[in-house]
Amino acid sequence: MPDTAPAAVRADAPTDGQPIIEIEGLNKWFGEFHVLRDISLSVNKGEVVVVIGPSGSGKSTLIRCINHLEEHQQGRIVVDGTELTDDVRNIDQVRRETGMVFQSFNLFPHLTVLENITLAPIRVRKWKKSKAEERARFFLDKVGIPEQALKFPGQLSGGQQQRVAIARALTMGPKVMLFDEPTSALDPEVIGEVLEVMVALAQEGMTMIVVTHEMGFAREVGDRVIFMDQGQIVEVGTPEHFFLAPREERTKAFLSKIL
Amino acid sequence: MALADRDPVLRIPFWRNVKTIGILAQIVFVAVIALGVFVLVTNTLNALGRANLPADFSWLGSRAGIPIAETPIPYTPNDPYWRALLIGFLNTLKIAGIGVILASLIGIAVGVMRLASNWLVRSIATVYIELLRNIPLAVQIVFWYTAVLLPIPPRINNPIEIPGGLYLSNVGLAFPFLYPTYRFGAWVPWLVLAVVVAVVGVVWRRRLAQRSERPVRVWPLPLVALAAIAAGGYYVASLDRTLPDGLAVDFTIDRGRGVVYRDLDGNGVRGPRDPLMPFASTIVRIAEAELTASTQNITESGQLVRSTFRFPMILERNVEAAVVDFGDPEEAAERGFAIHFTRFPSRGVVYVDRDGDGEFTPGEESDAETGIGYGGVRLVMTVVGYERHIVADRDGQVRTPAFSPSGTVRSAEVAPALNPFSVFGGAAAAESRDDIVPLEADVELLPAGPLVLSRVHVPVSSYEGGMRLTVNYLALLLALVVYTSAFIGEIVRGGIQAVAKGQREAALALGLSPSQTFSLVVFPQALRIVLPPVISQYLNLTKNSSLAPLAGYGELFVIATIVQNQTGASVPVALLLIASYLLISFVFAFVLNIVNDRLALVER
Amino acid sequence: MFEVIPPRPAPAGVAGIGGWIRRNLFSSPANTLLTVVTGLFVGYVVIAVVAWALFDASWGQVWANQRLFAVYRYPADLLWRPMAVLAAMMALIGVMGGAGRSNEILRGLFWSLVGFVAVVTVIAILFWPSARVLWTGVLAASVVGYALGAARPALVRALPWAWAAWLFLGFFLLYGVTPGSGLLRIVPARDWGGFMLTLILFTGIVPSFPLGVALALGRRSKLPAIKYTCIAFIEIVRGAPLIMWLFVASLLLPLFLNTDPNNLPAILRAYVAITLFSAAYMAENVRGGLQSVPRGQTEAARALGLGGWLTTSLIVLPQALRAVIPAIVGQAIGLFKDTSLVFIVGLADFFRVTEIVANQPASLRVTGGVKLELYLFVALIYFFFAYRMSIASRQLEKQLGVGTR
Repeated sequence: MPDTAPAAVRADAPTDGQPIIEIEGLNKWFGEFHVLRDISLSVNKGEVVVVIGPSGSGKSTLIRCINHLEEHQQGRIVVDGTELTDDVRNIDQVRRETGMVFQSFNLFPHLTVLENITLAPIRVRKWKKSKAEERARFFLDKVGIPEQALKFPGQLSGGQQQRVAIARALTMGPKVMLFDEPTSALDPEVIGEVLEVMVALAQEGMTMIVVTHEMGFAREVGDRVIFMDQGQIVEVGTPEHFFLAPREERTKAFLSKIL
Repeated sequence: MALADRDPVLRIPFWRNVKTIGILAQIVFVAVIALGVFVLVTNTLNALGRANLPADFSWLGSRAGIPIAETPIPYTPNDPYWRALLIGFLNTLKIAGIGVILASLIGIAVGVMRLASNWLVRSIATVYIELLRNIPLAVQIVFWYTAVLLPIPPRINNPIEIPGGLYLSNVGLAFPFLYPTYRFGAWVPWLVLAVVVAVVGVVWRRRLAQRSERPVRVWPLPLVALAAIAAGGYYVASLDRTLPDGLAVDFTIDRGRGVVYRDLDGNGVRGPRDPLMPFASTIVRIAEAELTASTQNITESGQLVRSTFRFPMILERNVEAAVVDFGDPEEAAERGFAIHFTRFPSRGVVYVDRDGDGEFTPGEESDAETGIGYGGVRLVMTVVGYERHIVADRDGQVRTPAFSPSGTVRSAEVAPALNPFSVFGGAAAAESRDDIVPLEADVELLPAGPLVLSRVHVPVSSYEGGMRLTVNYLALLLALVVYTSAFIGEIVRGGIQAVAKGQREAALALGLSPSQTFSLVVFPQALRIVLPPVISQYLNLTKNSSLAPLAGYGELFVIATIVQNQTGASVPVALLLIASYLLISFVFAFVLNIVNDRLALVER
Repeated sequence: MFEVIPPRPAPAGVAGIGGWIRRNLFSSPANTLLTVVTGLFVGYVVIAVVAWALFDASWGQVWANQRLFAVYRYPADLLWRPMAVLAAMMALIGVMGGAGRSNEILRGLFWSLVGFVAVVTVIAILFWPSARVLWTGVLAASVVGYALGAARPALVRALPWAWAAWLFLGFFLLYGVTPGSGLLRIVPARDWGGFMLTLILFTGIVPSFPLGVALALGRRSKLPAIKYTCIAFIEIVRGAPLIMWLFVASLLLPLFLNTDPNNLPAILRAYVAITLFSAAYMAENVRGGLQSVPRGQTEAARALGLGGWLTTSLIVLPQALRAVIPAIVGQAIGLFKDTSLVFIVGLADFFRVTEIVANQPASLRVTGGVKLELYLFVALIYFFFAYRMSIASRQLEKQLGVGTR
């Protein structure tokens, strides 16, 4: 990096914790378009990091880089001690340890809820079917829809589908959960049931990175809030700092629009 | 910072590296494919060498010797292979071009019928579509060819006359056609000018339409200008009444054939280097001549036709007078023969007026006891003042009936035996008699406009003039059109139904009539949905024309199979075939892309 | 005070048969005229056709050549062999139909086939003494298969193996084992033909399926060498008509293998051409299905740690193939019709046999000719199967469209 370039804002985790995700100088381009610019971020075990920002600010791309759904061009990403390089083994390793929940659920429509959940444990973790199903039922219970196990995703409501998606990710036993706007595609009346599950998860000590527009969730559960704009981290802080006394003008402008 | 201090892992085994795995896989893939191709090519070369078959294209220049019935450009069996294949390719285009237009028209009609409010009409369309789509095209082609078009229409010597100068028979369809003459070149600049003016006009009107507040009709004015300039140019080009230098005709009257050519070396005789002049307009005049014919008992279209005679077709308007008499009047009088014309003066029957009513009554054309007709009765037609306007064909050929000098038949009677030479050749026997009128033809070459209308003429058992389509072409065309129209019909129906119901309702609510709603709102939108799949149906039709062997039509595939059979050049012929069809497919894909782009543009 | 008004029956002319007739046939004077005119026309055509079929047509040549139409020159004393293969096939389909209680479409197809077999059986019993027992056997096998499937739905799990065994044994039964004479003597492929050959060629769609899937996946590959090779194959094959490929294959295959043309039976060359041709079209159909699977499906699978191969085979393909079943059935109809093109390599399939029969001295002696009759008969048989499949395709489309996934 040339010296003249403005120094990027770093989002380092508190030093008292044990970092599980470390990102250093991350850059990514879509063709000519510079989506992520000098992102440095680390997340401690058990921390809940909420990423907010206007659409197109690169926040989704950021968390998609963490499990290598998007390839980064510069910088380093290390998840639980495994660095994401061109090594297939490392990529698989990182994906096993991170769960991801998508905006549009992405449940597999040709499989039942139970099959959706047990597919990866059986095929990737090589669990026995009985064990996988037992774990699946446990997590279905946890997200509050044990009775839907044998239905197809198409027969469930949006909120139920998203909860199945969370259960699907949890059953793999991930160390980190990535949420990519999990409530944006939901009807307002079912957003609550999904958020409830996420809150419970956070309280159990799961490491989470959540991209969301739900400011209530950020304020309530977030350990740290990161505001991104134009592919950069603009401001980092605790929810209190963020919602009560933001430093940057850009942050203030954004918050004034959505709050 | 922990991460910044640690060294990144740089060494990744290549079999685990995302970047190299891909390259590795491709190298392996390409190697396998290359190996396979290598083995096949080596095998093929060995096999070709062993069987001593041609593996190059040098044979393309040698004489083909393939007779082709339908040739859009001049062709003789003496032409080389490449020209035979070119004819095949053009024939493919000829059937595809016409087929596409007809299939679209019928397809649209059927598609609209499918949505008719009348249940019966709707059902007919449904049955049409389901029936035709679910029967193999091969079966349909053979059905039309061998079960309908070959047996059902009448023979060529008695074709159906369709108003407008069309003739249909089991040989095919012939119709009048406009051909370009030697004067056409004088018209071309005018045509170019007309098109340029029209294009400029359209551009200008478009601009005007964009700027102007009032609605501007873009198309009418340029189109009128186009027509006016073209027509004016035609008139001006026709004003020049001179004939091209050295235009001459070489006419052999006793064979009834002539050739129009340009005597470039000016020696007054048609030499090998003198070019033939196609589509020249001529008038053939013959003062007096005669034709002979004999009655026949024949089976035709499953029916027995008795005591029938057929002269080469002479139309009444082409002669001052025509008289038909018996070749042997005394014998005819003895047996009581009379002549009944079914078509004066060329066609008719010989009969015996048994009931004495002075007219022909059916049944009188055969013997009362045996039921057998009167065969072999010789008849003579004497023609006075024959004058016919004949347009030379593509090869500059002019044909008339093969006349004999008038009086030849009488003179032949005195000869001890029937000498065919004396009847047809005329000269030897004719000189000995005084009453023989010498056979002379006056062939006048007429100045022509840029285009000339060539009419169909059916002398005896072939078509002359006009445009001729063989029954093979018709059968294949019919089958392709009908088959494809069923698919197009279904696409059209789907397209119309896919236009949102709301569109129709909105148009009706605005007060448009149902027909306006359809033509202004529904149809334009349906067209957008329908066009891409219909274009791929056009491609299917073109490719399906390769089923031509079933109808014996000489298109690309048929000619290629014959060429392969003659030369043994399997690989080159296969390559040519594949390349030709790929070319056609690419052209269609190109058109489809343009259409899709334009449609996408309209959408915005 | 709100009260529910009880529904009243519709006035005349709105509902019921009368209303339907008025709306669809006599809604206006013009429509009435149209109905009368087309009605008369249709009536005339139908009566003329029926009268011709019943009184004028001579169907004798169709009856007289049943064996040619069915199996061509396959020896009469060995007829039991193809019939056994047919019976086994019907039984297996029967098990599928019987077990798949919920699958109405498959069951419907099965019963249509049984109906066809039943009609032929009746005809055989009446007019074709040598095949009476055989056809009855086929009919019985179908029904038994269905009953078995209905009674023991678990049999479905054995079906893939059963089909594989059928394919293997069926081939040896048709072809024979021992040279010379005897029950299992070899019947050379040049004697195969008729409807049997049409069906055999039709099975070319089976090997074309995995090939087509592979090509479709290859076409979507990120690796340019694989991608463009697949594109080239698909587009070149689709660019030219099947009849040309049959011709080219019959010329070039012996050259490619550097062997005498007589070593490669025409049926084999045709089969290769049909399979490869069908695979190219299959690839395009499957590609359509692959494109219909949202990107999120792949991403979700990858995020769960599934590798590329598992993602494709467990997540993407099942959804893609499901979406293209109607298109594949449509392609099967096309292929069924296109088998008639093998005449170009000298095979005597169902269509070509018609030509052979039409040119028999006995046919030529019939006054008025029998071509019309023969081609109508053949067209009818083709139509029955193609139309039945197209109905199934439409049902499938509907089922998938409304679908409880």
